[in-house]
Parts: sequence; C-alpha cells; structure tokens
Amino acid sequence: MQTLPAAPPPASLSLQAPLASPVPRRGLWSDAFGRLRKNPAAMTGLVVIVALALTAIFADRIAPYDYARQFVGGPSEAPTRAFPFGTDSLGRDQLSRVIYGSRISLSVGFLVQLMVLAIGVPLGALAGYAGGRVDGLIMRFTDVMYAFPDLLFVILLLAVLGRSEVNVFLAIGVVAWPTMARLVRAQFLALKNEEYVLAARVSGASGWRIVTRHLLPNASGPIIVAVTLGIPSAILTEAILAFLGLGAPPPLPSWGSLVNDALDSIFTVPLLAIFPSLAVSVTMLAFVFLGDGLRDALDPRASSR
Amino acid sequence: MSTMVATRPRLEQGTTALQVTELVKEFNLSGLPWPGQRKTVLRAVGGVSFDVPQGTTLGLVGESGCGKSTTARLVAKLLPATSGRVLFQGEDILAASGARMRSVRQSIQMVFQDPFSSLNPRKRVADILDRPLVLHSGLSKRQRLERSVELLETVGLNGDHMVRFSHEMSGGQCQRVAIARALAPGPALLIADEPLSALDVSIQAQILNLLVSLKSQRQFSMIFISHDLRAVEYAADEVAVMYAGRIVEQGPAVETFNDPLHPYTQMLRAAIPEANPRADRPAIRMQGEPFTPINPPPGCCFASRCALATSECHQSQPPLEVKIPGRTAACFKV
Repeated sequence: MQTLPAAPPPASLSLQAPLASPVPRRGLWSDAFGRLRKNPAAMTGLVVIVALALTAIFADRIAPYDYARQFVGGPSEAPTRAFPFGTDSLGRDQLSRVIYGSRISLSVGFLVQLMVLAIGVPLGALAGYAGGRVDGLIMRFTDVMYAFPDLLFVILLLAVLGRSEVNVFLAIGVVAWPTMARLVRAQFLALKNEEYVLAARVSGASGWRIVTRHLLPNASGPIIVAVTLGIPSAILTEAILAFLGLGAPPPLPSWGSLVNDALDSIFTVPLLAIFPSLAVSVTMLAFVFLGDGLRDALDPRASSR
Repeated sequence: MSTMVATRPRLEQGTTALQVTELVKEFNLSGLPWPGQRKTVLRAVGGVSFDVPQGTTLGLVGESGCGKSTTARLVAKLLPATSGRVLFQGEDILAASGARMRSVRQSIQMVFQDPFSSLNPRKRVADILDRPLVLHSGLSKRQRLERSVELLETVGLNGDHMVRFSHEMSGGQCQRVAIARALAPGPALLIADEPLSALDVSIQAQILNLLVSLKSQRQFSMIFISHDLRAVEYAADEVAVMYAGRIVEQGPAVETFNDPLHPYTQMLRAAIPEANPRADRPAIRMQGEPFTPINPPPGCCFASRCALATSECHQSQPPLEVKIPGRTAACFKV
C-alpha cells in the first residue's frame, strides 16, 4: 500500500460507482440468453427439447403401459381409446413404445456429442494452436476419418463390436468427431492471430492459459452451435441404424426400430409408422431451431454497440 | 515514480535500450518438400539494423507490407527470426530461453492496431488489466485492483470502465485500455504498432498525445510504427523509413521529413496533403511496379519505382551509409 501515491482516490470508491450506475451491466451469458429469448423458433425448440428430456427421464411414469407388455386382441391395430397410437404387430402399446423410444434417441444425441467434444475439441485445439507438423499430422488423420462413408463405417464398426446400446453410441461418436476437430482448428487458426492473443503472449501468458482463457471461450459459440446441430444428426443416424435392424437389441424400443416394425402393416395401419417418424422429425426440428437461435445469440458483439 | 513497478533497475539515460542487428525474417511459402518443387521464400524483413537509445522514440514508417509490423513482432519475439540479433538492455533476447524470456516480457510491451481486436471480447476491462499484474507485479488482489483503476486514470479513463466489455466502449476507449494494459507491467520498451490507423482522426490526436506524454512521464523507450509521417514526426526522435523489408533512410525525425534524402522518402513526403491550398509544391508521380518480396531480384529494392534509377541500381543493393552526419540513406544517387 505504501508504494501507492496519495493522489488517486481509493479504488473502492471508484469501483462502487458502476454498481450504482443506472445502466445494468450483465454478463455475456445472460446477454446471450436475453437474445435467445426473443427468438420464437429457438424458444419453441428449447421447450420441446425440455419436454422430450422430461419424457425420456420419466418414461416409466408417463407411459400408460410397459413397453414390452403384449395385449390380447390382435396385432397391428389402429388407434383406439385404450391405445391412442395403436398396437404393434406383437400387440404392444405403440404410445408407450414411442415414449420409451425417446430414451435411446436422446441419450444417443447427448452421449455422442459428449464423445465428439472429448475427442474433437482437444485434437482440433492442438492442431490449430500448435500448427506446423503437429497440425499436418492430426489433420491428415482427421481427413482419413472424414473420408470414410459415415453410415457404412458405423455399420462396419457395429459388425465388429457387436450389437448393443453402448456400441451404437461408440460407433456414431467415432465417425462424428472429425467435423468438430475441423471446426475447432479453423476457429483457433483464426483466433490465434487476433491482437488480444498476441497481447497475452507479449505479457508472457502460458500456452495453456492462452488456449483455455482466450481461444476456447471465444470459440465456444460455434462449438455450442455445432453440438446442438450435431445432436439431431446423431439421432437420425441412430434411427437409421435401428431401422436397418442394427440398433439396440429388442424388446427395447427405438424410434427407428418402431418404424421398421410398422413397415409390415404400412398399408393397413400407416399410423403405426407415422407416430415414431413424427417423433424423430419433431426432435430434429427442435434441435435445429435451437441451434440456429444459439448461433445468433452467442455472438458477444451482436449486442448493441 | 512510485507508481511504477519499483523492482526493475532503471538504466542511465544515454545507454541503448534496444539494439537490432541484421534482423532477417523469411517466410517459407513452399509446402512439404517435393521433387521438382522450386523453393519459394517471402523475405518480409531483409537485414534491418537500428538502435533505440534509452528514453527515446524510434519511428518506423513505410507503406503497407514493407515489414514494419513484422519487425515489431520479431523484436517482441512474437515471431521467430530467421537470423539477426536483438539486444535488449544488452541481452540477446532471440537466444533467451523460455523461462528467461518470460521475465523479459514484462519489459517489452505492445500496443496494436485494431483497438477492438486487441481486447478479448469475452473479458471485462478489470480482468484484462489484472492479468499482466498477476504475472509480473506480485501484488495482492486488492492492490492489483487499485493499480488497475490507477492505470485507467493514467490513460484518461476511470473506474467506471472496469466492468465494461470491449464492445461497450468506443475505439478510442479500447485503445486507451490497450495502452493501460501495456503499461501495467512497467515496460522499458513500448512497441506501438500502428496505434492510430484504426481510429477516427479526432481520436488519433488524443491517443498520440497520450502516448507522447506517457513516454516522457514514465521514461520508457518507444518504437512507434505508422504510415502517417506527421504523427511520426511529432512523436519520434529518430525515424527509420522502411521499404520492402529494408531500412532505406534513417535520421532525426524532423530533418528527415523536411529534407528527405532517399527518393522513396521524398515520394512519401510529397504524398502528404498540404494544408495550404495555394502552396506550390511539386507532386511526385508514382511510376513502375511495386516491389515483390517473393524471390526478389538483385539490386535496389526501390529501383523499379525510382525516377533516378540507373543500371547500377538494378544490379547491386546500395548500402545504408552516412550521407550527412547523423543521417543515413541507402541510395547510390544521393
């Protein structure tokens, strides 16, 4: 304290001023949420996603019947009062199966994106920040992964790994991360020559700090958007796999396998196929709307200048 | 004096703060080695030497792409140099180890061109100013806070700005924060890389005056980079005119601009608009092709645009030699 001159007023005084100032100062995240709230499509998406998540979590309480319970009365019946979505070819309540199906779809969406984050972000960050040979090496590997036809590669992996819920997550995650790695690398390449990063280096900041405090936070917007838009594509891939009979083993329902089951009676009771298809479409749309809204909301410079 | 970081010993006036010798930066533009591929090299800085005496300002002028900024980044060790030597307070910093460099860092600070991009858009001013203090000052949290406010006041802002983000401030305010950040570790050398060119003209004068007065208060040395000759004439003691990665003329700022020796400096001087509309001053017409830094031809880098150029100029590179006591130029014709 004695090193300070007497002239400037105590910092505490000048620091209190902004707190009392009439203009409320908010953080970047609350600012972004404020912008998101004004976007009706994104908010609709968010509400639908929350509702879906709740449905998935509380499926056992919401579903009127157990998903595997068979009812007498014949296979593949059209909707009735007791079975609003009808019953499938084994006489199981389609509504309950669609509700339980949300569990697999949503968990595929989230877990695959977790994997994508865990693999894609560090690799992309390393490639973008380090540059040179490290970059070349990582990106060529990424290119090789990227060049495989997605679905065929997933099917191949599942054939090798065997058919189980976890393997479905793994297989989709393994093909999905290169996109994220490329995105993060591109972001880092652009950001690392920003003058605030140079200023941090001139101040002697460590590489770790520059990556975690300057580059990652400023790349977080596009990363969040990519995750939000990656979820529906993972859901769709899982639905396709399940439709092809490569999803989670029966009797566990997944929206894709429900559509497949309903194919037998597509001309007699088309509604059996339509309900799970709708569930996939609505979920995907919700995530896409939310992702688009986030893209606009997460730019810190978007607020009034 | 008490406002500075007190631990750093101050050098006597008259010694050399920075001594740059034959600094070269080449960028290799060819990709992976491949049979039959020609090597493509961009020579951004081709053997630049200058001294900055303690407490003085060296102005670096020249057109876009002449290597001014690259030189600055080499001196600040933001880029690895291809060859050459940079002695800062007698120590070769190009050879300094990472750990040693980290402590040198606090003595060399930079102010950049774009005030918006030089502040992290996700950080408040308080965080931006706190970091260099955490790294270099050893002060407590509360002391750092007080020091930050003090720094803001030094650059003409106040504590109200502590909670702002860069997008909540004007360009001039952002540049003031950037200057405050550069002052925070108590630098002995401040490199201002085109600190004015992204600002409104009315703000430019304020920032220029701020830099000049801070320099005389805090007695640091400065490298002031600009393409605005009048700003350099005002701020700098010595000036080095760069063209195509080389210094073509060097000397005291006022003399150099009033009576330029090198044809390129004369051309620059003639390009400044005259305030007096009746002033009768001959314009120098630009001619010829600008220099390409990729695989450059031999000879004077300015020869392709020079009215005085002869065959000698196209064949060999004129050395930078003393033409008038205290003033050097690289030209056969002067």
